[in-house]
Amino acid sequence: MAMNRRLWLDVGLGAAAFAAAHLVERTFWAAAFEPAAVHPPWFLNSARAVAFAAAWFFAIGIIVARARRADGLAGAAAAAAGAIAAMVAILVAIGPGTIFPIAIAVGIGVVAASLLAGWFVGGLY
Amino acid sequence: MSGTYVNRYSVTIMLVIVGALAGRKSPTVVGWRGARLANSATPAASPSPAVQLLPAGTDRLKVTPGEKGATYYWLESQVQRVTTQFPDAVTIAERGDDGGVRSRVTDLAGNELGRLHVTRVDDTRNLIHFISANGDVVQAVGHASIKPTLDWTNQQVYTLWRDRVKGGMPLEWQGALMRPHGAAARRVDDDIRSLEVEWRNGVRARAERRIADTSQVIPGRMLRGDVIVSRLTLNGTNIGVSNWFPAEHVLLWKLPGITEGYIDADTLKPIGGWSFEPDVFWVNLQTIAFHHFKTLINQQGVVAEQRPGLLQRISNGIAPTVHADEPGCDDLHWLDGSIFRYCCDTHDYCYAKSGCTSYSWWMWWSSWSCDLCNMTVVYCFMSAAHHVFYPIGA
Repeated sequence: MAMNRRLWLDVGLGAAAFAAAHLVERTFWAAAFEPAAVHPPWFLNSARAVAFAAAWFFAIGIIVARARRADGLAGAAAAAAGAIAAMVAILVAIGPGTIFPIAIAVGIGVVAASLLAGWFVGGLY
Repeated sequence: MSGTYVNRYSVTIMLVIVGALAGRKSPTVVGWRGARLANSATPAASPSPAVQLLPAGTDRLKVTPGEKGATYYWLESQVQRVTTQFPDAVTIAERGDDGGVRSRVTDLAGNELGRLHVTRVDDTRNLIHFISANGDVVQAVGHASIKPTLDWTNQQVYTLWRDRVKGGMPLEWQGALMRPHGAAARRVDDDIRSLEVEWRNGVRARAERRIADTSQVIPGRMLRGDVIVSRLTLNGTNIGVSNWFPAEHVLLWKLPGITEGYIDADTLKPIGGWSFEPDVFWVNLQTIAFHHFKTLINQQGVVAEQRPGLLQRISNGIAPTVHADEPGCDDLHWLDGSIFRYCCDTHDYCYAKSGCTSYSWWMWWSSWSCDLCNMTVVYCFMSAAHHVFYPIGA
C-alpha cells in the first residue's frame, strides 16, 4: 500500500515537474527560449526549450534516484508517466497541431530519456 | 503548419516555385503592326464581369498545372544575370533599368551573333525586338501567357539566331518560343550545356549536365542517365549542390549546415506527384530557394513572420484551437530547420488538399485520404533520419 502511495507521489512529482517547466517556459519564452516569439510557448517549439526540459528532467531523475534508492527505477518510471500525462494535457490545452501524435511521441522520448538518464546517473553515487 | 511559409517554401518550397511551360498550341506570332491594329479594335460594350467569390475557409488557390507560381517569379525577379551555354553559342541575359530584359547571343569565341530586347508595354504585353549580326530585324508582340524571364530570353534569342530568322518571315509559337512557321519541333532546354544564375548578394548557381550510373547518390538506389548538377556558391565559396535526375524524377540536395534531402514521385504522391517537368533553370532557382528560405527559417523561425493580434490571442486563450496549422512542424518547431521540415510541409499540403484536421488522427474512419497523409508523415519521420545523401558534385 505504502509502495503504491509512493509511486503515486512520484507520478504527481513528474506531473508537477512538467507543469513547472512549462510555466518557466511560458514566463521566459521570448526572453530566453525564442526571442522572435513566433511560436507558442511549448518545450518542443524551440531547441533551447528542449535543452532546458531535458536538463530539468535529468535533474528530476537524479532527485528520484537519490530519494528512492531501493526502488528508484519504479519511481523514475512513475515520474516519467506523470510528466507525460501532464505533457499531453498541456498540449491539448494549448491546441494540438496537425502532427500532434508525432509531437507526443517525440515529447515522450525527450522526457523519458532525460529522466531515466538522470535516474541512472543519480544511482551511480 | 502550412500556409504562409511554403507558398514560400519546401515541397512546399518546391511545388509553389514550380512550373514548366505546358504544351501549348502554336498560335501565329503577331507582328508589331498587327498588334497595333488589334489594339485599336476595342471590344464592344459588355456587361461588367462578376467578381469570383470564394467560400469561407478557402485560404489558398492552387497554381494552374503547368504554370509557374508566384514564388518562382519572385525568385526570378531577383536574378541579375543568366548565362546559358549551348553547343554552338553562349547567351547572356540581363535585366534593364526600364523593367525590360535583354539578351545577346555570341559564338564560342565571343563574337556577337544577335540581340533580343523585350520591352514591357503593360501588364500583359511585351514588345520583342530581335536584330541579328547581319542586320535582320524581327519585331513581335510577346505571348500574353509567357513571362519574359531571363532564362526565356536566352532561349528565345538562341532559337531566333539558330533558326536564321529574318524580317518578314512568318513565325508561330511553339511551346513558349517563337519559331519559323512549320519548323521541326525541338526542345531547347535539352541543348543547354550549362546555365549560370547570378542572384543577389553574391549567390550564384551553376548547373551543368552529366551522366550518372551510380548507386552512391542515395544508398541502395541505382540512378542512371542524365543528371543536372547545380552547384551553389556564395561569394565564390561552394556552399551546396543539388541533382535532378530527369528519367527517375528525383531531386536531391545537400547544403551542409542548412538542409539536405531528396524527393521523388513517391514522396510527392500525397500531393499529386510532380505537376511539372523541372528544367535546368528551375533546378538552379530551386537550389537558391533552399539556401535563401532555409537561411531565413534558421535566422527568424519563419520566412514571413506572423504574429497573432490581441483579439486573436484573447480568443485563443478562451477557446484554444484544435485546428492549429502553423508554418513548419506544429508543436515541433525546433525541427523546422531540419530535414523533417519537408515531412511536415508535405503533410500540410496533403491535409489542405484532403480537408483534414487534427481530428483526422483519431477519427481514422472518416477519411482514407487523411489516413494516407498521416501514414506518409509517420513514414517520412521514421525514414528521414536514416537518409544520408551523396549528391554528384558534392
